[in-house]
Amino acid sequence: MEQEAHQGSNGSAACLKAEGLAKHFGGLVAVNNVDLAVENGERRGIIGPNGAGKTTFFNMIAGELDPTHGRVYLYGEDITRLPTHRRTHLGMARTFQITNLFPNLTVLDNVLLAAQALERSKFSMLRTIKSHRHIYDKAEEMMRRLNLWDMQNLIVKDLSHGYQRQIEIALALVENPKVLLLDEPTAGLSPAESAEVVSLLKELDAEITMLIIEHDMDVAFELVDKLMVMHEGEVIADGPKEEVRANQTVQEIYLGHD
Amino acid sequence: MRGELLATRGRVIAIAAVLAFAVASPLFVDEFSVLVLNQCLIWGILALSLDLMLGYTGMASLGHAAYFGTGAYATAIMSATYGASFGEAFVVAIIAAAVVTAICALVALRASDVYFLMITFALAMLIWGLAYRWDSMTGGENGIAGIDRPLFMEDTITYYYFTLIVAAGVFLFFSVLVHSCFGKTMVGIRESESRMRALGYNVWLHKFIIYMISGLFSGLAGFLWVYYNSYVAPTDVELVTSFNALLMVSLGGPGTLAGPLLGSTIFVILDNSVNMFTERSLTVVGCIYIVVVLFAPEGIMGFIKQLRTKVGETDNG
Repeated sequence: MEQEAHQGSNGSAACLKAEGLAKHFGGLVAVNNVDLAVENGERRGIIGPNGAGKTTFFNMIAGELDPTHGRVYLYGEDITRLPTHRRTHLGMARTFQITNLFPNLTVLDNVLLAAQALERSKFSMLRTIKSHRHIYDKAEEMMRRLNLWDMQNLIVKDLSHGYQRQIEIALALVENPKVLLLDEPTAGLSPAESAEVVSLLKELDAEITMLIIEHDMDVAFELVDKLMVMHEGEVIADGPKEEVRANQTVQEIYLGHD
Repeated sequence: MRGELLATRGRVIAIAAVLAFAVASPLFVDEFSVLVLNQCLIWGILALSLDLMLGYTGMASLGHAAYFGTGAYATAIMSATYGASFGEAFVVAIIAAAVVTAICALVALRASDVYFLMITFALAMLIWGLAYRWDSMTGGENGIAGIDRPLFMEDTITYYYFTLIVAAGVFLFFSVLVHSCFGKTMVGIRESESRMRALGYNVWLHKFIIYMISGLFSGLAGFLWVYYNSYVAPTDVELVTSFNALLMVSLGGPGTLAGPLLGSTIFVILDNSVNMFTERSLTVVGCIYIVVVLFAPEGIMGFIKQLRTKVGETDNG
């Protein structure tokens, strides 16, 4: 009931919303009073120099950190205190800035674990994942799409960083998310590899809402419609990317030195 | 693909050979050796249960003596004090192990890594304290004696076969479990808890279920141990028991099923033979532990696997 009432008062198509979100670590204010509203199907970038609070903000949206103040809404539902795994069940998926895979498992097992995560059969103690045809097919389709199928039996930790970054995205995509949170998807990639990831992300279903932290300005401009710029825990600009690029303060703190 | 088939065939042959040896051994070894083999099986079940947590899920418990001991004491109290039958004692032992495991899991799962290890250790000390001090119930320091097996398995060899069937059943169930959907989530948790959460797994619930399975089968081992020994004492619940189980898993190879069985067999045989020459068997065990940690951190099974990979590489090159 309460949720419905809230949805009514929002009255917008905002699928992901943060209100006055703040995180204090002792005396340090990592994120201070950040508002964000991302609409359905929008691609929103978050940029800012190192230590701006991007990842902290991101982790509060994803559920890994509890905010000190403020609220987070997904499709109008208050998810501020909802644990990470429950948010995933509502259609949210994320990738990590520092590659976070299952390093001693094969590529196929990595993707299978992601593909079964939202299925009830994950508690089955007698059947293998592979014997669940629709889960296996889902994993196979995703791996073929990302050209990972040929390396299905390789152990993930033996692969190059570039491939690991692709698997990082594959694990999120195989869950068919409605909202995709990407934390520096091109971190540590060569320009060629980075371009591949960008084209992969651009080809995704336009329905998928994306929130992307990006360090590389070119990548950010390529991928998103709107940009939010953070600096020392605060939002200093938020709007269409061209406007943000022209913003004086942004140029000084972020773009100034090139 | 061919390599995989060959590996599976090798595994089937190895299991069949071990099973054939286990079934045939009472025919050509003396009774004392059958007793030793029976010990290997019972400790093997305990080590297998611990390995589900330690090797597969990455939860290092130093308190498995608690669940083993609960099963053992429940069996002894039911059988010796209340005159319960084998079957009745079994049911009560498993229920008691389940209750104690659930309570311990609820407390211990609030922590992880080395803190988890310390809490499981502290909880096991509580159970040990109960066994040692609750005289009226547990017989205190003297323990409880006079637990008799049912007539039909009174002799050493029949009970050995009974234990063998149970151990084989446990091994079979665990090998299905670790390859199942749920089994893969155990390994996933070991590899990256935060990724599992992000994927939508309720990591706490998975750990709780694994803890329960592990505790129940440890209780089963305790049940078998009491009928084997016809006696239970606080030493069965003390730190050394938890540590021995940990050593068996590390020695054989954590994260494998053959490893804990191999580890328990080596440990029991060594323990029994060293005891003939010296009273300092713990010192010997400690030295072995150091050697294993230094030279084969993945245990004997890990060492074998490493050798195989090396041979494979030279074959291909």
